Amino acid sequence: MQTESAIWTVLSTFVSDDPDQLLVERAQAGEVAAFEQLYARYQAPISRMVANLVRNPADTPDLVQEVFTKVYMALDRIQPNLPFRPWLYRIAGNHCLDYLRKRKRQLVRLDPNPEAAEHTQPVDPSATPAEQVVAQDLVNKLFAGLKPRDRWLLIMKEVEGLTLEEISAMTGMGISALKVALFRARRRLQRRYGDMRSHQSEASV
Amino acid sequence: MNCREWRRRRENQPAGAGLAPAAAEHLRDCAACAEYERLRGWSGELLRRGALEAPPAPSFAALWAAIQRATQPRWELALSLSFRRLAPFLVALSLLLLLVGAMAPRQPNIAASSYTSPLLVAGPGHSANLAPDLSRQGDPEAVLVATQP
Ligand SMILES: [Zn+2]
Repeated sequence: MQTESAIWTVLSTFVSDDPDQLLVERAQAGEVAAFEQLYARYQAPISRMVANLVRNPADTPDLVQEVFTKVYMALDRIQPNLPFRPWLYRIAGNHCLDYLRKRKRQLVRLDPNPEAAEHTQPVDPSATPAEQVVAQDLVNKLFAGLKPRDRWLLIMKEVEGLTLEEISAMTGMGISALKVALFRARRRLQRRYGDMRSHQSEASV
Repeated sequence: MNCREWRRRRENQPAGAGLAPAAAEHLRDCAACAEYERLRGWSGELLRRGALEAPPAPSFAALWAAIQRATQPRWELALSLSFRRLAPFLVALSLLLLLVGAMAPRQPNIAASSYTSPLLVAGPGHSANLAPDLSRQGDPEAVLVATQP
C-alpha cells in the first residue's frame, strides 16, 4: 500500500509538470494540430521502442501507425491521473506483445525448432561499437527465445531508460514485483547467452 | 542503506551513472548487490549496444488517413462494403431489365399530354368537378355504333 501511494505521488508530480497535458486536452477537444504535435514529439521514441521490441524493421512502420491510431481512438479514455508518456508506452507495448504472440504462433507452425537457425558467433558484450551489427544480431537471437513480456521490460529499462515508477504505471505491477520480474528477465537473458556460447563451442569442437 | 533501497535508487539512475559514496560503500560490503550490479551492467550494455536504429515513422498525413479509415462509422463501412459486393449484381440486373424492356412488344402509345386534371381547371373558390368529362371523348352514340358488330 505504501509503495502504491508512493507511485501515485510520483505520478501526480509528473501529471502536474506534464508538458504533454495541454496538447492532450487540445487533441481531446478535436484539434488535429495538437495531435500532430504529440506525434512529432513521440514518433521517434515509439518507433525505436517498437523496432527494438519486435526486432523486425519491415513491420515497424505499420506497427507504429497502428499504435498511434489506437492512441487517437483512446484519447477520450486516458486516465486523468496517468501522464501521457507511460500511457502511450503502455499502448505501444501491449500492441507489440500482441504482435509477438501472433508471430510466435506463426513461426512455431513454420519452424518447430527455431534454435536450429542460430549460426553466428556470439559477441562479447564488451566489444567495440564497430561490432554493433554483430551485437544487434546477437540480441535478435537472444530475444527470439525470451518471453514477450521479458523483452518488453528489458527494452523499457535498458534501452528506453524509463524509471521503475514509469514502468510500474505502464504495466500495473508494483515496484517490488517489477524489480523481481526485471531481475528474472536479466537472468533468463544471461542464461540464454550462456547456452548459446556452450552450443557454439560444442559445435566448433 | 538497505539492499532494497540501494537497488531501487540504482535502477532509476541513468545508464553509465556513477555511484554516490554511500552506495559505493554498500556495494563493497554486499555480495548480493554486487552480483545484482554485475548482471544489471551486463544486460544494459548488451542491449544498448545491440539496439536497432528505428526505420522512419510514417508521415502524419499517412497516419491521419489511417485514423480516418479506422474511425469511419461501422455501419458506413459495412454499407460501402456491401455496396461494393452488390455493385456487379446491380449492374447485371439493370442491364437485364433494359434488355427485357427492349425486347417487350410495343404497346399503342396513349397520349397523356392532352389530359388536364379537373383539379387544375377549377379555379379558387370552385369545388372541383370530379365527374368524367364525356364531351372530350366524342359522341357516345357514335362510340356505340362503332363497337357494334
Ligand atoms: Zn545489498
